[in-house]
Formats: sequence, structure tokens, C-alpha cells
Amino acid sequence: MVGLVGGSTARAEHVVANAGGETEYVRRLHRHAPAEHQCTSTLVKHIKAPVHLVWELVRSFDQPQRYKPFVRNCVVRGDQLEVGSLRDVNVKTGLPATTSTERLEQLDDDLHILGVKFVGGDHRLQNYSSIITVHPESIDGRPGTLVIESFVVDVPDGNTKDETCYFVEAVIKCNLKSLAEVSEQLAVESPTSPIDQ
Amino acid sequence: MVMASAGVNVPGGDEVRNPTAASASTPECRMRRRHRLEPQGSGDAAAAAAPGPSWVRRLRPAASRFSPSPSPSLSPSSSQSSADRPNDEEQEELDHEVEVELAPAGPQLEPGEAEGEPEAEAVAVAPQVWPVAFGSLSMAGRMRMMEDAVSLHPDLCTWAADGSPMHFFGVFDGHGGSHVSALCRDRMHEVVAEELAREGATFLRRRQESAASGSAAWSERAEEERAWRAALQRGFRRVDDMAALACACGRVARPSCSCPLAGTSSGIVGSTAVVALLVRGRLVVANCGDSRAVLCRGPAGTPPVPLSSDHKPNRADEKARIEAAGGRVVFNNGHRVRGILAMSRALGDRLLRPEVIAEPEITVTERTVEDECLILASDGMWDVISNDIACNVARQCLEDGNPPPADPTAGGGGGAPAAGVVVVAAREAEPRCLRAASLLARLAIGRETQDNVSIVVVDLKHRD
Repeated sequence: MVGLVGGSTARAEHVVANAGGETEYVRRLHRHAPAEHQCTSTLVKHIKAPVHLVWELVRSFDQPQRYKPFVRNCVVRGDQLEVGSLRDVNVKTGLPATTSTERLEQLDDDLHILGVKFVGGDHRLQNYSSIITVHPESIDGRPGTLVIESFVVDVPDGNTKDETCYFVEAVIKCNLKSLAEVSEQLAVESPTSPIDQ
Repeated sequence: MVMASAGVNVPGGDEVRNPTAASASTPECRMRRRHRLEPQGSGDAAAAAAPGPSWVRRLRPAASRFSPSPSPSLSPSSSQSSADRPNDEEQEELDHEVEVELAPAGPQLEPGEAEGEPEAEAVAVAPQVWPVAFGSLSMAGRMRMMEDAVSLHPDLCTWAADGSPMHFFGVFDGHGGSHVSALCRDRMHEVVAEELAREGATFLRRRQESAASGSAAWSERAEEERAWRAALQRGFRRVDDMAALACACGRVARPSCSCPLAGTSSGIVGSTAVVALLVRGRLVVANCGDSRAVLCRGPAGTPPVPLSSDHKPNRADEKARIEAAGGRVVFNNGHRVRGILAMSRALGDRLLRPEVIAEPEITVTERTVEDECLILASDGMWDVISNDIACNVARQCLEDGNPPPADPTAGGGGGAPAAGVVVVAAREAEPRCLRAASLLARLAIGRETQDNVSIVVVDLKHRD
């Protein structure tokens, strides 16, 4: 299930209740300060797979195609994968862009935070910045993962804020749905699932 | 990368009929009219109904013929022999009518024209008068990835009602990867043939039931079209279901494929599909996406007839359907479903459901003897070449009376005609279709299309 958590676009009516866990994570970890010509939003996804499997996919800055259905392939510049690294993403055909150059802004393996900023490419998403966090939770008595992704981006000429938010949310929903499918498949295939705190 | 192929399928080898078939349209029109008015018409219908069971049996070998170049002849059998008898009688009648009709010229034209509408109801016209020759060409163009696919299957199967050959041609323009268009190329014709066999059996049973009950509501033409539409709709649905299971390596399997490519997400990989079925004097076109089928009618200057309508998200009815499904169309380098996909229908694209559907829109068009050719192509061509220009280019190529001395490509499909005249026509026809497709492809590249280009040209005339 994908839900929306209020950003400056005030989608409060779509808040998904979870004993305050989500709103607390959003408040602490997903801070964006959108300018007048920008839009922002936050999405959540509950995945029936242990957090270590989900995080391993999310943190693969050099292999986003493992779960992102829009990516054809990806090349990281330089030898060391660290904050500040750049990757050149090639997008699949038939989509509204062909390339995207992206910078790794945050990578925290303890708190499970990944931050990425778009710095080039032929897409129309100027100053796009996103934060993804993953958090352990229990689903039907089994280890699951709460994924939260938030973004901020300039509204392109010719589009409204609402349209831009809708489009970016559509892309993220596809990414999160695919992330769920891939990690749940991995969870089924792995022989044992270690218990996470 | 360039892929090209050409071939001819001219059924029958009747030497007596060829001069007539190659000549002007008037005798053919009069033949049809006379045949319909024959008092023996009901007798023929009764005779046709009798061999029903044997025709059902004949469906089995037809359904199993999935090779790229199926043989049009069935194995000899007593049921085959008995099934042929009505056709032989029909043949003799037509020959006789030719002799009669040729004598009075002027006065006969008016009655024929006046009865134009009833004429469209003609049933079981001999296959020989509806020639089919074809050629195709695909080019990657400026795109580095080739994701288009073409499927050419003349004499794919036979129609249960009368054994007429059914010819299958398709163009599939993939996006996000090539494995869905490859799946369409490899499996669509097989699945459609299975569904046609199934619908054919149903058609025969319903016809028998209708005849037994003395129902006057039976319309052979409408029932045939209903059957063909149902077969194509089910064929598209089945291939779309396969696409959800297709791996980038080409395997369609459950559980998931475990090859190295299995990690590549296939949620946004899809394909258009424009498919043409040619059976007797009718063109049946099923389209899903923004490839296109266009009929070039003669003589020169006659407007082309679109046989499909592009599924673009900003087409008013498509936009309404998308919004009713809870989606939106956002302009993002073009009008796109969710701002993501530039077409409103496609096979595959699992993650864009329910807005993006795989249901084809189907048209059925009556052929005329003036028809020049049928063009199926991906939007890589139609984006830069209008229907009018495409038809004019194709017409000129096909009318060219100076073919090269030897065939550049071996033709596929079709039986070996016995008549020398047909053989000569077959050899000459192939390179013209190929040349038409090739010239259109080069024109599209010259006009800087950014996409893959795939073109199928089907010649609808006997050309000497």
C-alpha cells in the first residue's frame, strides 16, 4: 500500500495512521524547505520483507536498476563510492527522458538513510532532491519494512505544482511497488530471515 | 541493423481464371452479382452445411501449423475430398458466368452499380481473386536499441466456414526493452491461430443450430466478423498475460526466471501491436498503441483509408477512459499517461495498469479491386510521413514495371502455384513490396525520425 504524508502540499487527508511512527520519522528525517516555485511530497510503502533486504536494494547507488523499473543501466564515475559520488543513469526507451546525472548526498548504513540529488540530464526535474529511509516494522507478525521517500523539485515551465507532484509521485510509486516485489521475492528465496530489532 | 523480408502468396493455380483475375474489375463484380442471384444459392448453403463435421476436423491441422512458412495444402483425405466438392461446383458456375457476362457489356453495368450494397453481402467468393504479396523492412534508425519487431505469416491458418486462407501480418514497437515486442513477434500469430480455430468451431456449431431452428436472424457476415473480433481480442489478452511473466532473456515462465537478466525490472517494458488478418475480401485490423495500419485505395489521388486510430493519451475518449480509471494525463515532453508513457494502450507495462490497457480496437474493411496496398508501420515512420505521402510512395513503387532481374530476398510462405503466369507474377511482386518498404524507411530516416522504423507493405493487386 502506498500512502501520502503531508508536506507543503498539505495532503493531510491521505495520512496513513501508524501509531505516529511514520509522522515521527518524517518530522525528523524528511525535512525539505521548498521555495515558492517548488513542490514537495512524501510517500510511504509497507513491504513484507526484512529491513536488511530492502536496505541492501535501496542503498545500491551503483545499481538502481535492481529495483527501479525506469533504469536501463547506470555508471558511477570514479572508483570510490562515497558521499559526493556521481552516477550517470540511462533511462529506458519510451519515457520522458534518456539520461540523468545524480549525486549521492547522504548514505547512512546505521540509520538507513539515502539522499540523492539530480544534477544533470535531459529530464525536466531541476533541483530534484530526494531522501529515502527504511525502518523495521512488524507486518502480520513477521519482520517487515516501512519505506518512506520524500522529494522536493522545481515546477517545470508549463506544468502546475499539482501536475508536477502527481508525475513525480507516479514515478516513486512505481519504484516503491517494484522495490516491494523484488525484496519480497528475495525474502521468499532466502533460506532464513534473521530477526531484526 | 536492418531486417528485411518479402514473399508472395497467390492461392490457387487455375490457369483458366488467371486472365480474368488479372483483367478489369467489371467482370468480377458481375460474377459476384450473378452468383448471388443463382437459384442454387440455397442449395450451395445446404451443401456447405453438410460437411461441417469434417471442417471441424480440418481445423486441427490448421491450428497446429505454427511454422514461419506453413504449407497451405492439407494432407489428402476423404473428408478433404468431399469438402472440396462444393468449391469445384462453384468454380464451374463462375467459369460459365464469365462466358455469359462477357457478351452484353453496357447495359449490365447499371444494375451492378445499383445493387452495390447487396453486393457487399457476397459470400464465399473464390480465394483466387484476392491476391496477397508482401515485403517488410525494419531499421533501428537513430536509436541505438532495436525494439521493433515484425511478424509475417501468410497462410497462417484457414477459416473454418469455407477453408479460405487467413494471412497474418503484424508490427510491434517495443519500449523500455525489446522482450515484449519479441514475445509478440514469436507468439501473437500462434495464439491468434488457436483462437481462430476455437471461434471457427463455435461459428460452425452456431450456424448449424441456426439452420436447424429455421432462424431468419442468422447473418453469415456479421457472425464471421464477431468471431474474428473475439479471436483477436482473446489473442491480445493472452499475449498481454504472457508479457507479465516474460523475462528480459525471452523466457515466459512461472515461477520467475532465474537467469542473470531476471534482476532487470520488467514492470515498464511494453509494446504496441498492429495486426492485420486478410481473409477472402476482407481486411481485419486490430490495433493497440500508436503504430498504424493504412489502406491505399486506387486510382492515384484517392485518399488513403486509416484502418486504425492511434492510442494517444490526449485522444478525447482515451483521456476520459484514463481519468475514469483514476489516472491523469500530464504533458511531459508530450502528453503522457501519469506523465510517463506517451501511448494510452500497450501490451505489457504492468506497473502502469489500470490506465494503460491492452485491449485492441478492431476494424473490418471490405476490399475492392481498386485497392493498391496495405501499409502497417510503427510511429517511427508515421511521425514523419503522412498517410498520403506513404500511399503515394508505395503506389509508385508497386506500379513500377521494371523490377530487378533477380530476387534480393527469398520469398516465404505460400504454396507452389502450378500456373506459369502466377509463378512469374509471384517473382516480380516480391521485390516491389520490399522496395516500397525500403524507400519508406529511408524517407523516414531522411526526415530525421528519432525512433525505430518498421514497415510492412502488402500488395493487394495482381501486377504483371
